[in-house]
Amino acid sequence: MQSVRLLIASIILIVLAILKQVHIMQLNSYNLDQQIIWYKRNFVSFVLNIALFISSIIFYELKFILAYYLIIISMIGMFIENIPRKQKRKLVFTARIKRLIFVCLILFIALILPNALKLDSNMKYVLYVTALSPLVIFIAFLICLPIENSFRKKFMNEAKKIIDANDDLCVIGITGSFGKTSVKYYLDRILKSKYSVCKSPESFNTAMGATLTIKNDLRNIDDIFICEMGARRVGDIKEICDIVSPNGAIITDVGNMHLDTFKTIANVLNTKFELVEAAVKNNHANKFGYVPILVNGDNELIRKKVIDCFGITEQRYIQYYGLNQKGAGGIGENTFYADDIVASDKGTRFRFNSKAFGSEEFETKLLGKYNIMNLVAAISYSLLLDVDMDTIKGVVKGIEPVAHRLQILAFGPNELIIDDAYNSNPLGARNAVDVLSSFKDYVKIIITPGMVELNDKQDEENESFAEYAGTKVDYAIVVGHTNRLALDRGFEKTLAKDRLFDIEKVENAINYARTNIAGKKVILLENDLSDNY
Amino acid sequence: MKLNVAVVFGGKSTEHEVSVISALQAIENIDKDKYNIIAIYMDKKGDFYYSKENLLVDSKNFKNLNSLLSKCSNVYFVKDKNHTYLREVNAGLFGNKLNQLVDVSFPIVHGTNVEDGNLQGYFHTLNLPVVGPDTLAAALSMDKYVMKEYCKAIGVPVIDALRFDRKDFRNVNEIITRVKNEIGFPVIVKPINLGSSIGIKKAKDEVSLKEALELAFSFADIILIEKAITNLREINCAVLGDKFDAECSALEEPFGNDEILSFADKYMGGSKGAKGNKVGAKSQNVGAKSQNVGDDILSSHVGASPNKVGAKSGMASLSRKVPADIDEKKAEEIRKYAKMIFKYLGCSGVSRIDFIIDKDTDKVYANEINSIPGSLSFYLFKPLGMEYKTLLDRLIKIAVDNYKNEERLSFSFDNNLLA
Repeated sequence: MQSVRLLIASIILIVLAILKQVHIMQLNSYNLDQQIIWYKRNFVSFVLNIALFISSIIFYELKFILAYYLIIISMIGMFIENIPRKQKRKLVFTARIKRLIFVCLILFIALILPNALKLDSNMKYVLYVTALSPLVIFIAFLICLPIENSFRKKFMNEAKKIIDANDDLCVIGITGSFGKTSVKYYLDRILKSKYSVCKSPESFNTAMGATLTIKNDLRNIDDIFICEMGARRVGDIKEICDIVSPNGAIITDVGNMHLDTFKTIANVLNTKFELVEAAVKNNHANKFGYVPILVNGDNELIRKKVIDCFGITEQRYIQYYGLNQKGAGGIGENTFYADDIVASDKGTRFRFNSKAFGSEEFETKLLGKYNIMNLVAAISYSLLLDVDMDTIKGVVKGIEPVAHRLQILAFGPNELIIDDAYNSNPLGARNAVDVLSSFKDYVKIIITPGMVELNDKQDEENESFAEYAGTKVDYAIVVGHTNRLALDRGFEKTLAKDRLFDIEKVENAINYARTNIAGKKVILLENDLSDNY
Repeated sequence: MKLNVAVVFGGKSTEHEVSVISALQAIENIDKDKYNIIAIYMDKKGDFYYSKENLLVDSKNFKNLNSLLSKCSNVYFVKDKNHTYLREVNAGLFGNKLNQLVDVSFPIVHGTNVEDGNLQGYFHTLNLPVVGPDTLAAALSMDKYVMKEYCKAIGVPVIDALRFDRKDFRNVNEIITRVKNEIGFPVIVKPINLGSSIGIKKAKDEVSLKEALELAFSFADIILIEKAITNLREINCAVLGDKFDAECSALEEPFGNDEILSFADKYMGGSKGAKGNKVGAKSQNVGAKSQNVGDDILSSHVGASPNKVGAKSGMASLSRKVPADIDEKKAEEIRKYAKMIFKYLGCSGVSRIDFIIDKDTDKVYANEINSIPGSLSFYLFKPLGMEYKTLLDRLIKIAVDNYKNEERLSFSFDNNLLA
């Protein structure tokens, strides 16, 4: 009976281990390096496995009877450790995961079956295998890796063939440290008024994402494929370009994102320019004529890189956009730029300028200079692809902000709320405060619980954010407990004490601001922490 | 990029064979450098067949249908993610071997169940661009009474007609009274929607009217009684375009034999290896000329057909003159009406509209519209210098452009009201 119980417990533990480990592999994008880093960082989670292994040896090999209790305790511990918990990103049973689980099961069956069939004997091998189950699963992962890579390669080649067969297709690659998803979205909206457009869906910005989009979404009758390209390492963009062969390109920005993997900003820049190089190479005339390459002309790094790459002569391929007429670092001029940016209760008005298309007034429901910058990119590119100005104006006017991201809500003409509840990074929060301060003649109020998930920098970031915000607002209301002390410290440096309030709940804070603060006012709701904070 | 064009023909229709001939002719003439043709045969039960070996593009193979179909795969269309594919109904042990991408559907079908909007609606649901009319235009064109009322509404003259259903037939005397009072003999009785001469009969008096009604009601629940014009000329005009732009073809004048074309003549005898065209669908049954006739008559343009299929027309005697010998003023009037009908019905691709001129009064009447005319009326565009290949290219382009245009207009419905 003891054997049967141990066998059943072992099988349960093995199944739980498989589910947990393959999920981690999925979260690590099946990347071997990332998986190994994960093992190093989470070695402590295998302590119980080691305990089980050692106690099994003591019990079976050294015949030390009391070790049996250790076995039981380790197994209970492993059960608790591995029982599925609520996860932000659940395990998705993709074909690949199914294959991996299948190989795991084969391995486990091969390892424990001979021992398990003899129910009258002890279960020593079953226990050893159970204790070492993460290792077995890792071996299964290693077995699958070359097969999966060849599948992947084949799949990507099929996508490449589809693109290569379509001479008339205009493929626009969009990359950049910030803003690429927004530019993709705005550009798609505008171009759809004239063309059949396929865009890669949200967050599908890897080589596999591009492949899936081509295989599942791109149709032969489409005119334009907009492909968002994300990068974490040097060569990532080139990998995507090799599949989609972009003939047009937009670079939105280059900044200090993913420096842990890129090491230097020069590497970031080089990687983004893999797109420009590919686009220049593929830019033979098709039904669109020469497809434009558009880059952020307000970024000095990009300006200098263009000169490095192509010298002056090749610049004719490349067009610049920005919020200034002059290019960054005093280099050249922006082909397209916006100025006279004014925030109002309906959103933002700005003037769009270019030599070729003249100056035009635009209206949008979007707020903030980053959004305007992204709109300028989309407008410029659409003009270059022959969409007419009036059509673009109409589409831009209709673009709605993403909910809870600088979304303007009005209780009345004298009472606005800027809902930025989903923002949670220091840069975005400062931008939101800038948007707030651009409302002239309004009493400006910020309501915020501060930012979380900033590890050991949380206090420091919140304090410095509050200090900055204090210079731009008339009133501040800190809600919740999490960051109260840090925020209060920051606000007190730049804001009078009688203009700073602590209120427990967001709803009460909004009510308080509406009833107790007089005048025409605009309230920024910056970040809204979920219930578990 | 080569678009995958599924040419679908045949179907559960009395004009099944004619459609096969029209389609094979078109397939032979489509520009293969631009389009990848997928020939899909729809049998009389409505099943789709596809041949990887391209057996379905040769008319010779259709002589022995059973043997042909045994070598083809029974297939279905399916929308999977953003694409539409052709797959085998009987997938093998290891899944579906066939997974043919389809970009555009091109129904070349005639008659009820297929030319009447049903097939068009099916492809629309599959999210495919459809060459030719959309569901509504095809359906409106198929119903002879609706067609007449529609023409009246937009100011195009039509021959007076009365509409009766099977229930009215119980009181046949009342029908006779109304015919006498409202249109007068002679008349032609026809089923409301059959796309050929089936069930059509002329009546000179009460007795022959009763006979004609009996015949018509044996084919349809709803019939039409139309004033017969005894001294007439038939003039047909095809229109190419979409709801924004339309252009007219050369005009043709078919000369039907005064003999009655029985169904057997037209389809059994006639269609056998004959006609590059949809066969003389309805010359009048009766000794008169072919006023009700509206569908195509097989014929003279057979000669113009580059297709060998048409070569041995058994009905060459049914000839036609292109361009019709008609004065320019009358021709202009006909072209104007043809374009109006095409536009207001929302037609797309190529339609042929058949007119009748009453020689006694010199009045023009719109008689019938074929939303997918036999041979796609290519022989009427040829005199204008448009090769069949070019016509087909235009037709496909119109379909894709219209599809894209509609897609642009439709907004995504992201909100789930039930959520």
